Amino acid sequence: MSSEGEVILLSLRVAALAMVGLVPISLGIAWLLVRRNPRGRWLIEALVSMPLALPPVVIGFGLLWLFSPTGPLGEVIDSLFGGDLVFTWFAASLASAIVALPLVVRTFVIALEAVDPRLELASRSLGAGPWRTFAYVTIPIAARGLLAGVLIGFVRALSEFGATIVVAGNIPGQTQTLPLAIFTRIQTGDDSVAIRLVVISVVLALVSLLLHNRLVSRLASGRSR
Amino acid sequence: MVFRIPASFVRSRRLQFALLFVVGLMLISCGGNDRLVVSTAASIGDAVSEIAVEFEKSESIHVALNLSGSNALASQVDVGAPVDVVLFAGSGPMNRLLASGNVEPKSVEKIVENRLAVIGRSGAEAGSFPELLTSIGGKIAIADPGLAPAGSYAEEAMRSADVYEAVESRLLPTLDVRAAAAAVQSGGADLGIVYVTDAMAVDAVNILTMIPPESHSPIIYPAAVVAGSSQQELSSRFVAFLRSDFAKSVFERHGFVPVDR
Amino acid sequence: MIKLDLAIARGDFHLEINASLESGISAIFGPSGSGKSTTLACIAGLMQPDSGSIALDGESLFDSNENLHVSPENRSVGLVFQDGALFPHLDVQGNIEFGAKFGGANSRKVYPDELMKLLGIHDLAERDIAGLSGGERQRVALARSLAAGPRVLLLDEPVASLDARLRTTVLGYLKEIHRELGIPMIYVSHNVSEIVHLAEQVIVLDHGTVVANGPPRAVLLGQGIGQLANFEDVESYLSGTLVDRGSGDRSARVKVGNYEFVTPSAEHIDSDEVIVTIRASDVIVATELPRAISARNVISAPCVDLTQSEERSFATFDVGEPLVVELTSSAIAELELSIGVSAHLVFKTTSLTLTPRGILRS
Repeated sequence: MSSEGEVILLSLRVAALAMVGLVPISLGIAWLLVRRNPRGRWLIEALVSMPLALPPVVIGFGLLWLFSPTGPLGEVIDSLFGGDLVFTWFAASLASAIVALPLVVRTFVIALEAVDPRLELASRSLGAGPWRTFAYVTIPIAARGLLAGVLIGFVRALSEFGATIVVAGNIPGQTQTLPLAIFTRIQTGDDSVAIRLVVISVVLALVSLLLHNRLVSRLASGRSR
Repeated sequence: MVFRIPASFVRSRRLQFALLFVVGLMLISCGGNDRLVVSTAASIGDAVSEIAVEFEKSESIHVALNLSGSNALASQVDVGAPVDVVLFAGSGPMNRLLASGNVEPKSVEKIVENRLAVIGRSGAEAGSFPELLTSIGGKIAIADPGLAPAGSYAEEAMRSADVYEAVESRLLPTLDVRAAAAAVQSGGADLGIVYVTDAMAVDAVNILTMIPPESHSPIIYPAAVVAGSSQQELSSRFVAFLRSDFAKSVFERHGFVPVDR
Repeated sequence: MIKLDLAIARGDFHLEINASLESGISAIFGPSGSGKSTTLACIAGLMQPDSGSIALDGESLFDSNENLHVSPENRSVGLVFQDGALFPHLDVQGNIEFGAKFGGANSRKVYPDELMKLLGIHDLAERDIAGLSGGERQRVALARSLAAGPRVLLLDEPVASLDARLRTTVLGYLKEIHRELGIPMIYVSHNVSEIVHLAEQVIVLDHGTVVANGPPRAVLLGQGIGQLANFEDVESYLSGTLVDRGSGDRSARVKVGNYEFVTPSAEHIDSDEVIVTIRASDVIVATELPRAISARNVISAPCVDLTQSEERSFATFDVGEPLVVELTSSAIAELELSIGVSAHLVFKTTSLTLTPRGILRS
């Protein structure tokens, strides 16, 4: 079985990569909801919130069915990347990303709503196009809130269990993240190791949440206007 | 503490390159078929892990163990997960896969058996079965028979020893057999009926007596090759290796009883 | 020169304009909700009219027939918002340089440094925008828009949220900027005095339609705009130079044109250049030189404009700059006032207010 260090690194990597993929997508969805207020808004919000309502294991089996070699998307993945997606750390990141999606999108929406749209209009009138305005005005002003969203998504991704163990498997060294390692150690009676891993989990989560709260309180003190 | 994120960071070249690198890394290391995926009941995982390491040496292929509860593992296979070999703690999950046609019937092999034992905290007096259950008072922890096979085996053993009705009111059903062992360890129950392997793995509990195997159905751990596996040859060899002398000694060391053909 | 021929409807609100705005400083006047800000937004490209066309110096910015809508960042049209809309994540210098960075490359561009000096905000460069006063914000917003080198500057009620003194100061800056940089401006306001002081042309909007178009004094002080002209007092803003600062009880003296005004003391004013504000209703007109009166200011000046309506009447005199006086029509008739005739203008020291006119030149 892999060492504790390996487990922690794997977990951090999986969660980090989940966030790297999740952030641009969540940002796009949040921007759409806040600035465009589309007709099908309710549908978008419902889809985004679904992972909150579904048990993670259900999400896991759904993904497994979709992406397994015999599943509807499995062959597509194989022809694109030449391999399976399930039972890899990529699947673990995917599972983490999906369960973290609702949290991240909600936090991003709040962060973007705090940006006065007139500042964006001012930027446009000064000669900056839509993308530049987004990069040089919207994001810097919303930065603290956005970072808070990333952190809370990261914490959620780190603790992901149900979907991960189903779609990525519990493969030590490859997909056995921190929560899975704790589960396994308990199953095999390795209590002392399990407790150590639990402590590390708690510390990681606490640090991230502390940072998150710091950022949120600074956002609330109204520095965006 | 002033915490400003300079706009220059967001658009810095370094951040952009870092992101590109990460994405590239993701794409490169996706997939890969040069490994044997073995879904194993977590409770027997440690033993299988040792055996797999040895197997890897001679076959030069990476064995990826997938550890979970047997029922969940069976469900994964039914949904099409790319598993090559399965090893379950109990025949129930194996029967499921046989019924759904996901396992080659000819490849099913009984690998090991487990035994039941009565446990108590360190310092408790040893005894015999079933006398121990009635001579010592207090709660008796077993896995919930509805949730885990270990519980139904325990119930079966007590019934065949004609002691079930007498102790029924003192039974403490737990989520799984590990939780039953933990109940004894923490003092929630004075006695417990668990697998020998759990008793050996958990600290501060002692085996007070073994339960005669005739008093319950055999607790079989079967293995098989998954029908959809793309590596039938190698998978068969792995199953065979699980019955090798090396494997047998590892299993015995962990408290399992290898099955002879 | 802007040609507007557009229609836009949002909910209950409809706006239709067919007018030309000449170069120099033009204004759009009207009560709130009349469509002034919407018009500016359309010119800037931040809103798209439902139909029509907008052309700037011959170049088409919007044409519904050709499905043309030039995006705001490509129009070189600057827009100064009422509260400045300054970027909170940049300091003053950062805000102004933002304008310089993204503005189009053209000859009207002025460097941030010069702009800051021109507007007297050079020592605010590193300041956080949160701590700026209202007048400072407006000047930074102005500098930022100008740094982008726009072809025309749109100002949406830029002094509405400022107090009287600050208002006068910023108005002074605007006039200086226009003089120094020669940049055309469109000034939107519901305040008559400001428009009369600044603009050469005004369009009056009421409930989304143009009801008048012409020189400010004639349009705003004269006939034809009914309740729209039920404004408060008209003020005149005269540029002057301090000759004697005075102190405590002793009055100050200010040179305006060829005249010397007696004003309240100016010890709190550090600049020598000042703006003298006087209300139209505070001036008394006499065709005979009065003697032994308490008013310290009695000057003789020619009448250059006369606008009369049912509600109110105004006469404008030339004291080097226009000075607007409100009279009743019977007084005008009795004094036989007409354009070209000179009269004595009488007003008290206390009717005058002084504000610094601080443009620092490099």
